[in-house]
Amino acid sequence: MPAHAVNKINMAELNHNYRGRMIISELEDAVGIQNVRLLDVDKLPHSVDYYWIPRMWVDRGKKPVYPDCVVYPETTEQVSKVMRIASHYRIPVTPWGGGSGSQGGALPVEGGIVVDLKRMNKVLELNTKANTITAQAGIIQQHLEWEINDKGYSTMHLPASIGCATLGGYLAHRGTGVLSTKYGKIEDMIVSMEVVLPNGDIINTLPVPRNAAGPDLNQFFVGAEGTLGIITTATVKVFEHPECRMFNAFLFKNMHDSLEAGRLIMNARLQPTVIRMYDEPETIHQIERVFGTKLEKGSFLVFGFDGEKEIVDYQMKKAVEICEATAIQNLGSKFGEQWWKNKYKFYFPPYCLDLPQAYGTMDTVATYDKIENIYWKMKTTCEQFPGTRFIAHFSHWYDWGCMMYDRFIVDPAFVPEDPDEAIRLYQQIWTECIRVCLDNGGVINEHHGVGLKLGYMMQEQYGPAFQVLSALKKALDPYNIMNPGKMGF
Amino acid sequence: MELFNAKVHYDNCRFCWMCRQVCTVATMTSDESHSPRSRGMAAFAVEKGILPFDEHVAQNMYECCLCKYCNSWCEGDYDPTEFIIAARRDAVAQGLEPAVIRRLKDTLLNAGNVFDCTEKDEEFTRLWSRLPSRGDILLIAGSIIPYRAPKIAEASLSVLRACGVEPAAIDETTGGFELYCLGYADEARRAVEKLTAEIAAAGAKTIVTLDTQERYFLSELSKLFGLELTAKVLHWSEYVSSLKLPQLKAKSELVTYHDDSFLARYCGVTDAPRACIKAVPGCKYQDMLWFGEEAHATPSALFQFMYPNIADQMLTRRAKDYFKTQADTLITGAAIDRVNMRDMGIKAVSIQEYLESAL
Ligand SMILES: Cc1cc2nc3c(=O)[nH]c(=O)nc-3n(C[C@H](O)[C@H](O)[C@H](O)COP(=O)(O)OP(=O)(O)OC[C@H]3O[C@@H](n4cnc5c(N)ncnc54)[C@H](O)[C@@H]3O)c2cc1C
Ligand code: SF4
Ligand code: SF4
Repeated sequence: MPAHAVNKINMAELNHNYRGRMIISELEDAVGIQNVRLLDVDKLPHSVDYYWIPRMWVDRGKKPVYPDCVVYPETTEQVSKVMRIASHYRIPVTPWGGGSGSQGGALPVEGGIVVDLKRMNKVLELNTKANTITAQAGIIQQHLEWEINDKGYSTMHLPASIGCATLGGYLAHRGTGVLSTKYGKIEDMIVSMEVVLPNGDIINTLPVPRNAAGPDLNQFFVGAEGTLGIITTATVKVFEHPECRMFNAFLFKNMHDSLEAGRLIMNARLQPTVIRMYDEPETIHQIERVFGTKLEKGSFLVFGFDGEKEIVDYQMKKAVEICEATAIQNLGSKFGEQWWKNKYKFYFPPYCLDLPQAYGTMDTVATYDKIENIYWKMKTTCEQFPGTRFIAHFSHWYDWGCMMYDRFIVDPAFVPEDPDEAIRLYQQIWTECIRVCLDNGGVINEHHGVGLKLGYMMQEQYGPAFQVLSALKKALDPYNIMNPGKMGF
Repeated sequence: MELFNAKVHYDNCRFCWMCRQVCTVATMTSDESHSPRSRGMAAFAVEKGILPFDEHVAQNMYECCLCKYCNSWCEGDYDPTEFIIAARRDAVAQGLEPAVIRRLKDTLLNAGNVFDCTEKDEEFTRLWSRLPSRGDILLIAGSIIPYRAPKIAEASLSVLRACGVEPAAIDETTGGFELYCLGYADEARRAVEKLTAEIAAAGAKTIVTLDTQERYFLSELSKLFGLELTAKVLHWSEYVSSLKLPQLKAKSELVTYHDDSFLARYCGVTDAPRACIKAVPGCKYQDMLWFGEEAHATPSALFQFMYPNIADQMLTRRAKDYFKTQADTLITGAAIDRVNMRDMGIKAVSIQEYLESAL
């Protein structure tokens, strides 16, 4: 339940509710008539994101929760005007970037206004001295990347959703890219940002991210999923293209050995751009299917380095030595490069998970001493559900631990046709798996965010510490109009 | 509904985000409902009865330039244009197409082209009327050149003659493919049937299309219209690149080539125009950053009449790509691109004119 009630104006009844129509006119005045949408054909896409539940809901022929209207502001001032109107009438506002979030974060579950930020897509400044880029937050990350690629730069933020998610969306969900192990997650890349608060005020964080001028304002809004305000512009780091980028792949007898090899590479502080390791089932399920190459039974691991050739050669040599000590096969650089070339292919139909299966990415993070145990505990818990498989790969690696991209997949024969029953089963799997993860020292999650999906577990995950987040929310958004129903607010 | 026959495509697109960044119209408008996913979801919602198939859904299905960038990007080879065109046919069947579409249909039926020109360019008519109407090699000028770019026809002939080819030609006027794109299946079939009969009567072994749209639809007659042609269909650049060219004059300018959607994405022809260009001695060639099947789309003449604002944005983007190459000349395969780029003040020539200038 929302922490504080929303006094919602029912704008949906436009024909019968002249007050609703008057508010729409105010919104039209704020952003322009052409930027306000009331038709179902425009609302439908804003009512389904990458979260399984709304997709299943629509798949079963059920109408999802529509917003009352969608607005497409083009400037920060327009966002501010929209927020003032919403705040005055206490209308829920849900920011929408690319709608690619997997947590239901952008779903307008309480109706109201969806603020689609994609028309705020301008690159404002590429600063080649500071190596930063400033852009409006609604820019599709791939467009931002392409814009600077031919100038010799990259954001090095290259998630699988790069083509559909926005800069603001990544900031809001603490996103991560395939090169995060060297270049960091989006929260490591943020320099400063402009945010419109729930009351419509426009604020800026400090111009540099490292200072001792109190708590870091950037990090209040990074990961807040639009519950504390709307990010309108952001300055993030950019990097010059490396001289070279190299990969190598190995096959290990089992996941234990490959996990250990990954840890040793990290402990040796070799600074790989990426280490990606697949458990045995996923090695068969994804690697073989996507590459069309039959591998021996085992666990696939690929790593890469980039930078100056001489340094990369040394890093590669050391990492290869570490892996060769326990691997059953050195698959070589060609296989590694093939993986890099195909890294997004896994997400296209027919290679990706899709209905009629039920599935969920649990995205778990823990220290090295705990992660393997969590894997087995979650796997056991998950696979107790009839027709359910658990597979994982390990994508983002730190000095202290790593992230497990663990997924459950329920065979279609075991997914109830009745949508209510399907949700019941789905929630049971989630709840039990999350509890096992939390009980064993893990955190849900590393980069997908909380949204609607995991909001109900926030109190349990944080314990008394959740009051800090609640207090912050209450102070900035006393009427809970900003993305209500998310993050446990 | 015809839409449901394209279920395999919208079923895969409805929850897929993987080609949004390349979708031409979604990029131009930044409108969520223009993304292939949203269109796929709308189609699925219609099937499920969540969304009524009304004039708004119909409008959404028309707001697509049929560039097939989505399809060429798709690892699963799904194709949103399959369900988009099917939905347009349903819209027509139910009288739900936007007014602008209906007006275009009338124009096409009346004039056989989108420009509403009942008379072809005089120069073109003179040139074409002198060609035999039967022969092994048959030229098809298409629906732009006779009205807007007659010089391309002249250049095409000059180059062919320099290679010792004496082609035949027929005076075809058909808006058949445009009608097909708009969802007027019956009218389209009738128009194309007439054209096919004329082509068959010409007894040609090889059809050489001067424009790119014709290269596509004449090679796909069976799939699109259930019609057959025994002759082989080639674009002029494919045909010419297979001939022995005479000694060409050297050129020193820097040139680039724009791959249009029909030749590059629909037909997969990207090497032949480049081979023609590179046959010119001394030619300095530079591809644009986005080329081949990944070239940024420019609007068809039809789409320009449907949604001029979006079409203008598409042209502006491509012009920027061209300027980045710092090339002296832009070479095009599609006649409409040569017309539009010239209108924007760019030194643009068709592939035929470029080769002719080296004779
Ligand atoms: C195929 C696929 C692959 C994926 N791979 C990755 C991956 O590799 N790494 C990764 O991190 N994620 C991945 N994701 C998940 C998703 O892309 C990310 O969660 C991303 O951060 C969502 O961005 P978006 O712009 O689509 O945001 P949306 O889904 O539109 O919104 C996400 C949340 O952010 C809020 N929000 C959006 N914009 C703003 C703003 N400007 N200000 C404030 N709040 C805002 C929304 O209200 C919502 O709560 C993947 C998703 C898909 C579909
Ligand atoms: S065309 Fe392919 S990539 Fe695009 S939405 Fe459809 S399935 Fe996805
Ligand atoms: S054909 Fe072009 S405009 Fe239409 S959906 Fe595909 S990419 Fe977008």
